[in-house]
Formats: sequence, structure tokens, C-alpha cells
Amino acid sequence: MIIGIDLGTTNSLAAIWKDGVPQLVPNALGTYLTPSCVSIDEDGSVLIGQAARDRLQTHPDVTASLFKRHMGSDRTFKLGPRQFRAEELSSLVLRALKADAEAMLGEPVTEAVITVPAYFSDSQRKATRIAGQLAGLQVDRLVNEPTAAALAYGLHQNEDATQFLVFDLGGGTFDVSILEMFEGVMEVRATAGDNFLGGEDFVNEIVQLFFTETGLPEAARDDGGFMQQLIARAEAAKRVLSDSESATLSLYWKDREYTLDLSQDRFLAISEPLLARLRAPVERALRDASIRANDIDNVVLAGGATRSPVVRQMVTRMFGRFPAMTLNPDEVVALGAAVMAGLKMRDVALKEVVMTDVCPYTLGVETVHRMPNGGEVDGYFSPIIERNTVVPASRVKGYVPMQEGQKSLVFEIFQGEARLVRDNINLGKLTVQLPKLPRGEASVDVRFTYDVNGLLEVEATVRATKEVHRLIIQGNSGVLSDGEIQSRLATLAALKIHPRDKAENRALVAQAERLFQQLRGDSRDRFGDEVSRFEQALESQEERQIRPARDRLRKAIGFFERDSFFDPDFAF
Amino acid sequence: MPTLWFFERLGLPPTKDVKLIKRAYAVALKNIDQQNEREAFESLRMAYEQALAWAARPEEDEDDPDDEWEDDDDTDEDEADSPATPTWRAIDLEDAPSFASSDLDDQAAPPPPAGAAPSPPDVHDVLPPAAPPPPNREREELAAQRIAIQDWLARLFEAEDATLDRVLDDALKDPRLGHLDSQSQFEAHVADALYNDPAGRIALFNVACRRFGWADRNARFSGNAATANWITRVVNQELHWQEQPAAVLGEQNAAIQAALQTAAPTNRKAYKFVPVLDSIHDNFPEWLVLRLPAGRLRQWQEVYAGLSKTWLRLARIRHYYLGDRRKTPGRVLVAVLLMLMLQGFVRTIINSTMSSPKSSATPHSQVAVPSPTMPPPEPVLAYEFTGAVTEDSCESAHEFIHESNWLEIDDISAISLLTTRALLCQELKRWPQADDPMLACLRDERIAALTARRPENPKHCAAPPSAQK
Repeated sequence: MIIGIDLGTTNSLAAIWKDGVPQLVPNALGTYLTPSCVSIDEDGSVLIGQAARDRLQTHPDVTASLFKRHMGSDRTFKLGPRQFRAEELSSLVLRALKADAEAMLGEPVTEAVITVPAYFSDSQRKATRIAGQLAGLQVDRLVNEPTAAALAYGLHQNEDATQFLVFDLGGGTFDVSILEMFEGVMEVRATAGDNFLGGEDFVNEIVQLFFTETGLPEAARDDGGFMQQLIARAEAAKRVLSDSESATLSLYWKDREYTLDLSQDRFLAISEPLLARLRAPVERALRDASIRANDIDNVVLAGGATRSPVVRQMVTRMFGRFPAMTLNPDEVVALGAAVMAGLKMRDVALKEVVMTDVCPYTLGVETVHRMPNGGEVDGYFSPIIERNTVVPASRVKGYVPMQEGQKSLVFEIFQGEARLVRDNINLGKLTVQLPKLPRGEASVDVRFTYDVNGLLEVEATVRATKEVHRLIIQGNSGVLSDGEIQSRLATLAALKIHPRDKAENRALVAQAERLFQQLRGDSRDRFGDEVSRFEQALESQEERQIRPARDRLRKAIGFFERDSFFDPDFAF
Repeated sequence: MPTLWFFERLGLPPTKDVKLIKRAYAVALKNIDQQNEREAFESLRMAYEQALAWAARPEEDEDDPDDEWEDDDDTDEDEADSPATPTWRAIDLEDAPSFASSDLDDQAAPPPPAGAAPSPPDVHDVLPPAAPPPPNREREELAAQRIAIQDWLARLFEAEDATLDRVLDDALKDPRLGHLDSQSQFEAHVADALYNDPAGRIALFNVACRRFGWADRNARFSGNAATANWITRVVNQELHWQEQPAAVLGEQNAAIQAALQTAAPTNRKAYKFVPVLDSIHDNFPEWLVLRLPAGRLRQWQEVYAGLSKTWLRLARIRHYYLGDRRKTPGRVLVAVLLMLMLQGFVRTIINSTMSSPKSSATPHSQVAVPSPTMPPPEPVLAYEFTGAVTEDSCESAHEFIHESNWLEIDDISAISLLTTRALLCQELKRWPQADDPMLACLRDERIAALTARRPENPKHCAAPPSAQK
């Protein structure tokens, strides 16, 4: 069985292809969305999901979130005494989702299709694949998130031929894809995106405003627990503004209350620069696909941030029509991943469906440019695979050395759209030793092969000797080597994961702790009594006692959350 | 019909029926495992793309609207009205939003700039003619868009250079242009208008280039082909221009600045700059047109052509002794001696005619000594300091730097040129003032700019020395 996983910045989901339809996998708490958060409990066991998200506010030192933004980099996260890389934290989330799927299916799961932002670079994709490996999952396929959303959407389309655009604004990334569907072929025509634009940025704007408007001292930024509370409140306020005119954020820091009244207009004003950034990728995708906005038959929204009315208004204005809302934007990417898993398993229900994707960015090497006046300027980008080429694709280009008697050729490999390599992303370096030949004959063919997973393979052949060099990426420390993977695997295996059957109680305690911290005065005391009562029941280890206590605590949480103007559904 | 490999690969007889081609591709595609049969996929894909391109190729002797990418059976009047004719005819905005329209009634279309002979529009590069107006965009909306485009275009072409950025920003924020197609329309109109009337519009071109991303590698401008070609040429010329050696850049900048100053140059200026302008025009024709007012190059060339033989001979002699080429010690010595004599002579005259003893401190009265209320000197004055680095010229540069408000010149390359000159003087120990705070400030600024890779801006050096750190 292959499962489909949407490994998101804020939330992750799993889905499976079963009985001819994609189905979402519920987690231990019975919900579909598992927050992409990891925390270490007092006893050293690892908590994943909602419990970890609640602990962001109460135990910021041992909790991590938003690590997807650092995939493919060397940044580490400190959880208590331990250091983790982004792919290790992701692997813990994947492991939890895998356990959920196994619980639902009653059989072990070893293979997965994982979605990545279309604009993820080579090293970010490799890191995602390694995260799967570390979680004990063989990653059969990496699918671009907007493409997955399109697969889920396209399955419901009965029209003969249609063109549609997927507008995917997640927690941390933004992607746009234009697709054409005909004769069961789902063809991605063009993809564009921004790797550093998402729903979290809108929340950050509110946090910034809170600092400037309320006069909250900058020192508060160093208070991890307080900042997480503020972020959670800002997130809640953002959601409140979806359907009411204004929202109030009120927080205590060092026994002083700071309050911000945020109107919808004000929110729109501070969001303006972010909204403006949504335009460019859409324009570019349309241009690359050579179609006009009016030729788009439908706009499909994906990613939780597209729930926001300001974003929807923007989409409506750009296309002069309302976007499709048949599918839940939080779930559509995971459902598409399950469709892809079904395709991989060659399910009969999908016999007539086939999908082709594109390489979203241009790939090439650095070259020297000879000027008409004889001067030489280096740093020029020579593209080998143009962006929006249908993949898998393989392209060759020939290069000659600069000087007579040159001993080697160095190919610096880049990804990006700028004319000069300094504005593009360096992927690695390939050095080729040259035979002793006149300059004109010592040419080297460079072949780039970009596969369906979006991973690049580089091969250089010296034409005269037919000698082949393959890329061994040097100095690209963002990607772990095989040896490192093995040692990390051993470390991760030694970690104690909090037992899944106790997850519900643990999540409730984490939520109660988070709420306890927010409450003040009398309510705090009263709520504290409720928590103690539940903890006593837990110690009895008798389900007969625990169940009524759990229900009672839930009611208490519901009551006090409302009291603090904080809706539990909106929790961070 | 001939046999074509790509149709054989698809298992089809040659056809222009796009639907058939797509169906054949779909059937073949479903039998390929893309992940493991990469080569089979690539050959199929190539066959498919070639077949589509072949089907879209218009037949010269056919006047049939079916020759389009999309083979719509329901060809209606709008489509029949816009076949793939060699040049795109203007399409009324009210009928259909089209990328290829150029119906600017207020923009006269002069012949394209010299050297910018537009290549015939390549039909394959241009989008298919507009489809009938879609039902969800109302006619009033399109009319409002049309008015908005004309309105903003007029404002853009009248705006001061400094406000262009803001005007374009405001235009793109206009709700009437909120639709993505309206923005493309607007972009196409700005581009066409620039293409038709480029003289001296460099500021607008740069602002539009930045906003619409025309300089991005493989960013496709989707307007008409001639305009797109022109934009590509300008962008490439700009890049190549910048890559020239600094000395050439300085010389060319000086020539362009001089040409911008006046339509009627003196003989000396024409002699000095016209050959430079000609060489710029040879290498960067479209780029130069954008930089100079209409007809300016021709006016200068006429003055140059009118120079008498005697004048030219004299100029050549002067250049031989005073220019910075072919310097042998003997020639330099002669030049320096001549200059010193001349200087002494001028000084004597000044001393004898003017009673004020103070003027002896300012030997070069022809270099203005502005009072604090004077307007900033013309940039062209700053460009005068380009000859040999003699003690004499360093002295006048020193005077110019200290006595004039040269840092207020609104021309950063003039300031930069003069800064270079001053630093060079100091390096050759020809700067009259040993410990010059302003020069120190200029050098610091240059080093800071170089390390931060930002443009140099030494304006703050104009402050009194006490204000500097």
C-alpha cells in the first residue's frame, strides 16, 4: 500500500487511495490535520501534532514548528539537550502519519508519495526524500503541491477539454500552476511560485503591528513562550477578521496588559505588500503557458491561507470571476497525493488517467561571455533545461575550454531565471579533467536529466575520449550524505515516541497547560483544580475513571477558552 | 502529403486536426511509465509538440482561419475577421482583449528608429487572434478598461522622470485594471507606445522594464512581435553597454551628457563628442535613441559635418599636444611648459586688471567660483576634467571641488568622474592640499560603495568637515 502525504509548513495530512476514491486518514485525535510540530515531553518522549502545538506556548524551549522553511539547509533546531535538522523533525511528523495510516489500514505501510512546493529546489527535494527515508518510508514519488491539487480537482471534471489554474497559498509557500485536461491527460502547462510567501507572513504582519501600536517593548521578542502566545492570538485574529469587521488582541506581558483593536481595513492595508507579491507568479505562469486569464475555465484554491477573504478578493479581481470552492483547500493537496499513489499502484479506476508535469525553473551552468571587443566577462548563466519543459526531460549542450592547454573544465550548476549566475541558486559543481588536445577539439557535452520527482542528474562527457563524469555535489552541505543518513537513522530509532493510544490524553493535558498559562486570577485557580482532577484520574490508569474525567476537562476547557475570547478551533 | 516522422511516432497520417493529435498522444502516453521509460516518453513528447506546431503552421496560399493552435469548429465572425495575416491588424479593445492590439489614436506612429528595422512578425511567436468576448466580462467593464488604459498612458508620457515609478504603481493599482488581462493589455500599450516614440524615453523604459520584468531571462513579452524584438534588443544593448571598460564608459557618458545639454553644440564639442556618439550609435542604436531627444544626434552630426578643414587641422594639432594620447616625455614637457606660460600670463593680466588681492588665490577665473546661492554647476563642466593629469589640471579640479557646489549636480556619473580625477591627482602627488578632508570623505565613500556593491553617492561629503566623523 502506498500512502499520499501532504507535508505542510503548518499542518500535515495523510490520505490513501481506497475503493476507487481518495480518503483522508484520521490521526489519533480523530482529526485530519496534524500540526507540523514536534515537542519533547518531560519524560524524554517525543510528542507530535496538536499536543506539540499547544506546548509551543508552554514549553517553547523543547518544541519546534515551521521547520519546513529550513528544509535543505544546515539550520538545526534545539529541543532541550538535542539538536535536530529540518528533515529529522519532518521525519517525526511523517512517522506519526505513517502510524495513523497503519492504524486505519491494519497493515504496515512502507511506501509513500509526498508533496512538495513546486518551487522547491533540488536540495529541498532531496531533504524531503531523506525525511521519508528517516521515517522508514520509501518515497516513490515527490509530487508538486499544485499538481496534486489539480489531480484531486481534475478527477471530478467531466468536461471534454478544460484549462484551469491552481492557486496554492500554504502556510509558508506560494505556487501557481496552469493545467490543461484532455482525453484523460492532465498536463501541467506552466508553474511559477514564491518559496517565501505564505499564510504565516500575514500573521507576522499582525505581530509586527502589535509591537508598533501597543508600545510593547522589543525585549518581549526574546520571551519564546510569550511570542508563541502572541502568534497564536494573531492567527486567531486573522481568522476572526474573515467574517467580522474587527478583532481584538489582548495579552499580558510582565503583568501589564497590551491591547490592539484591529479593523478589517487596517488588516487589508498591512497585507497590501504581501497581496501584491501574489500577482507576479500568476502573471508569469500565464505568460509561460501563452494563455490569457480569460481562457482559464476555473481557478482552484489550495492551501489553508486561501480561506482568507482578502486573498479570495484578490483572486476574484485578477480573474474577474469567483474561484471554485468544491474542495476543501486544506485537504485538496493530500487527496491529490492519494490519487498519485493510486496511479503508482496502477489502480484500475485510474486506468484512463495520466499526468505530466514540468520543471518549474531553468537549470544551467556558468559560462564566460566573449565580448565583441575581445574582452571576457564571466558569470553568465547558460541554460540547459528551460523552465516549464515537460518532464522527464534530458538535454545536452556542448562547451569548449577558454584557453589552449587548459587542464580542466569546471561546471558550476545553477537554477534560476537571471542572466547572471550571481542572482541564481548554486546547486553544485562538476569538474572535468581535459585530455591534451587543441582547444577546439577538447569540447565537453553536458547532459542535464530532470526526472518526474524534480531531481536533477548531471553528466559530462568529454567528446574526444567518451569519458563520462557524473555530478558529485561538492560543498553543498544542505544535503545529507548516505553515511550521515545511516547514523541519523540510528539516533532517531533510539528516540522514544509517545505511545499513540495515549495521544488523546496527552494532547488534552498539553491544551490544558496552554490554557492555564493564559488564564488569570480566579479563573486560573478554578481551572487548575479541573486539571488536577484529570491528572488524578490518569494516575489510576483505569479507563473507567479516565473517560468521565476527560469529558469533564474538555467541558472545562471549552468554558474557559470562551471566557478568554479564544476559540479552541482557531488554536494556532 | 509527405511522411513526417512525428506523425508516424503518433501513429497518425499527417493532419491539422488538433483533436486527433491530442487523442493519439493521450493513447500512446497511457502506455508509457514516465518514471522508468524516460526515452520513450521524450520521443513521444517531441513528436506531439512537433505535430502541434505543424498543425498550427499557416499555409501561405490558404485563407483559412482553421490554421490556428486551437482548432475550433465553431468559427464565428470575430475569428474569421482576424486570420493570420502578415501584420497584426489593430483589434478594437471593445471587441476583444487582445495582446496584439495597437489602436492608440493619440499616438502617431513615426517610422521605427534608425537601425530598428522591425523583422516581420513571426506568427508562431504570437498568440492566436482573440477569441470572442467571454460572457463573464461585461462590455462596460471593457470600455472602462479602455478608458483607463488611455488615461494612464497619457499620464505616464507626461510625468516627470522622478515620479514615473509612482505613476506606474498607481496605474497598476487602478481597480479598472485589476483583471490580469487588463494589465497585460496595459503593458502591451506602454510597450507599443515606447516603441513608436522612443526618443529620450529612457526613464520610462527603465521603470516599465523593471515593473514588467522585460529584462528577465526568457521572460516573454506577449505583445506584438516587432515591439518584443525591439525590447529584447534594447535590453541586450544595455547589458553589453555596461560591460565596456570603465574608461570607454566615462567617455561615452560624457558624450551623451554633452548631447543632452544642447541641440547646437560648439565646434569644439562637436569635434570632441560626435565620433564617440557615432560609435555608440553603431553598437547600441536603439539604446542611444532612448537616451537622446528626437533628432539630437542628427543636429550634432550636422555641426560636425560643417566643420571647416582649417578648423579640423587646428583641432588635430591641439589634440596632439593636449590630448592624452601618444604621450612621450618630450610632448608632455612641451605641453606643460606651454600651459605654465599661459597660466603665468593669465595671472599677470588678472593681477593687473583686478585690484582685489584675493583673486590671486584663484588663478583660473574661467572656472566659476560660485557664491553659495548660485545654482549647481552644469554637469558638463565636471566632464571637462578628462585630459592629462597635470599639476595644473589637478589644481583646477581642486578648486572646482572646493569652491563650487558640484556635489549638487544631478548627475552621479559626472560626480564619479570628478572623484576619480581627484583621487588620481592625489595618488600622483599632484593634489595641492596634503590633508584634504573632502578628498578623504570621497575616498571613504568610494571604498564603502565598492565593498557594499552599491552605487557611489558622495553627496554627504558636501557637509562642512566638522560634520564628518
